[in-house]
Amino acid sequence: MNKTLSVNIGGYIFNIEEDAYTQLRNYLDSISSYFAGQEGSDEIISDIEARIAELFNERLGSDRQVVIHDDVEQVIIIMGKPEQYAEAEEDTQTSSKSKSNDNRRFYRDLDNSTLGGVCSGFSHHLGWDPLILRALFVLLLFTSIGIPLYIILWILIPAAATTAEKLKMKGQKINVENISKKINEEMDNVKSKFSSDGKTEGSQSVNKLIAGLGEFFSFIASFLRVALGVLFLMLGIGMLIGFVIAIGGFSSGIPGNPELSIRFLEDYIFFNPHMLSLAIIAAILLLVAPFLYFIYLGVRLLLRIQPPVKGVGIILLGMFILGSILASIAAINQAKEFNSEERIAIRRPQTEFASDTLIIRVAEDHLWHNQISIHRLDPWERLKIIDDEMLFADPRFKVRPSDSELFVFEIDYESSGASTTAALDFAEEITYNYELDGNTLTLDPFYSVPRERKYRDQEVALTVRVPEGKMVILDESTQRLASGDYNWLGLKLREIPGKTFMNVDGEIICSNCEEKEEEIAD
Amino acid sequence: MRKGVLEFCILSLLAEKEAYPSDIITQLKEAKLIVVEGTLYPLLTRLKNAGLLAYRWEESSSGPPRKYYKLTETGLLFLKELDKTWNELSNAVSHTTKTKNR
Repeated sequence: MNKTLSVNIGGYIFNIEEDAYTQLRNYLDSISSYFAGQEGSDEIISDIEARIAELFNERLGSDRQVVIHDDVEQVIIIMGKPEQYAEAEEDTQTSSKSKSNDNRRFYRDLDNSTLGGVCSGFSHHLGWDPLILRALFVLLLFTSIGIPLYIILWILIPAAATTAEKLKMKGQKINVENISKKINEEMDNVKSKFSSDGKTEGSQSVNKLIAGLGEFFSFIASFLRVALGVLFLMLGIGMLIGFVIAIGGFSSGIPGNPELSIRFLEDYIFFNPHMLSLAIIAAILLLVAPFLYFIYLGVRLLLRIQPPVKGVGIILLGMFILGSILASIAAINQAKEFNSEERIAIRRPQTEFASDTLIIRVAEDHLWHNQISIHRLDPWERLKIIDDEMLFADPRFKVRPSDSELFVFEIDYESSGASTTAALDFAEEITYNYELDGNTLTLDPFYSVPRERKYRDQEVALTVRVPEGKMVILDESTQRLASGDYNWLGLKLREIPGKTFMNVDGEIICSNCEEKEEEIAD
Repeated sequence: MRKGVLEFCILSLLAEKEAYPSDIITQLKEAKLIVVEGTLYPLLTRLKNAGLLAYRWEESSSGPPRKYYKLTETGLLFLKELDKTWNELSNAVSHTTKTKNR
């Protein structure tokens, strides 16, 4: 025994079983929502209802009274479902596309949002991939309108909250099929989200509060996520661009400092061209890997790529490790050349001469513009390449007592090398010039090595030996030698130029430093 | 494509004599131009709203009153235009396909 209802279809009364009624109701609802908004929809629906009534009449004949499930099913097959109409009407749909687009509404798509769903909402409207719009938006961020524009759109465009709105957003027809499909999708989403804790109890207001708080925190979270993502992305891209520019500059020479280039490294430091390539590759791997990692993190945060993309981390780590290994190889190989145990110094007494007083001055120097260097210049400043010579500024200088009755001028040439013989070769190649005119010793403020010998930390140390009772006057120009070795007197470096030193009883004493000493004593 | 053809067929059927939807459906189903009846009603309504068709009510012995559709003056003129276009199209198509087969 089944419950029946009595319904009016197309002006006729039918007795219909309850389940059959539900089915018919759904069917008619789907049809009316399909035709909703179309011109003459009421008429179409009443025509269809009239036809359905006619079909029921035919099926029932005179011996049956009640419309059953099977009848409704057959009628639906004859009349067809809305999506079957859509197939037949495809052409009209495309030819009047602008019209169908009018049904499409702007909504923000919170289901696929990165921040507020503006871009994904636009993407539904334009039929573009949201990725393209997000990329465009990130470009907009570089202009001043980007962020305000987004916020304005965010406020103005409503979020698609109901199923009908979501369908409208996507330009889909609002009919039973689509709605139920959509609802099922969402149920699945919710199920997977809350599979772990299914607690839904609690009073309505508390739930609302929690929902509000949740929305607030999720907003903060997504804001942070996007901000961090953009930061990482910009950082990574910026550093990468900077690195490329630096590499470009390095290979062609940095303006104003042409020595600092790959060619420089190749010419003056690396003996082995393979080691140079190795060092460059190592530098690229070591630096680019973290930049790429930043970019990758940024993209992941922005696009919400949840599980890390397989392999990216490993590859970048691999790059980094490989870079470290190559750098170590190059560094170890290079360090051998500067092996301190193989450092060699050759002492060459230059001249001996008899005089009461020796005046020491430093020659004018155009290369370093008579730069005063109280502290030692840094290695790059010390080095200049002129034609076939590599020039080093700042020879070391000291005054010592002499064993004989004569002034002695000595030069020590020093160099590192991979072996003692190599270091010796380097040391012998150093050239240092000076001039002795009467009792004036004029020293060059630099020394040189042939260009092809490369940088091996070559040094020149000058020693003036003063005989008992004689004195040496350091001209003001010896400021250029201020980086020399003065520790023997316990004087401050800047106090040395202009001073006179005497050998008294085999010890060097400053003869015009007394004022200073008194001051110190006070 | 098919859509326009369907409208053309409906107009042609109604040019011969006035008919009510079930008649039209039967003939279209025979020609396999239509699969589900629901497709027809929006078409008829649209054609009627475009002023190509008109209908009158007629009481039926077996059910609710029926709508009998017929062509209007405009409908007739439109159908002639369609006829011409159709002939041109079908000539063009058969010409092309024959040439291709040769």
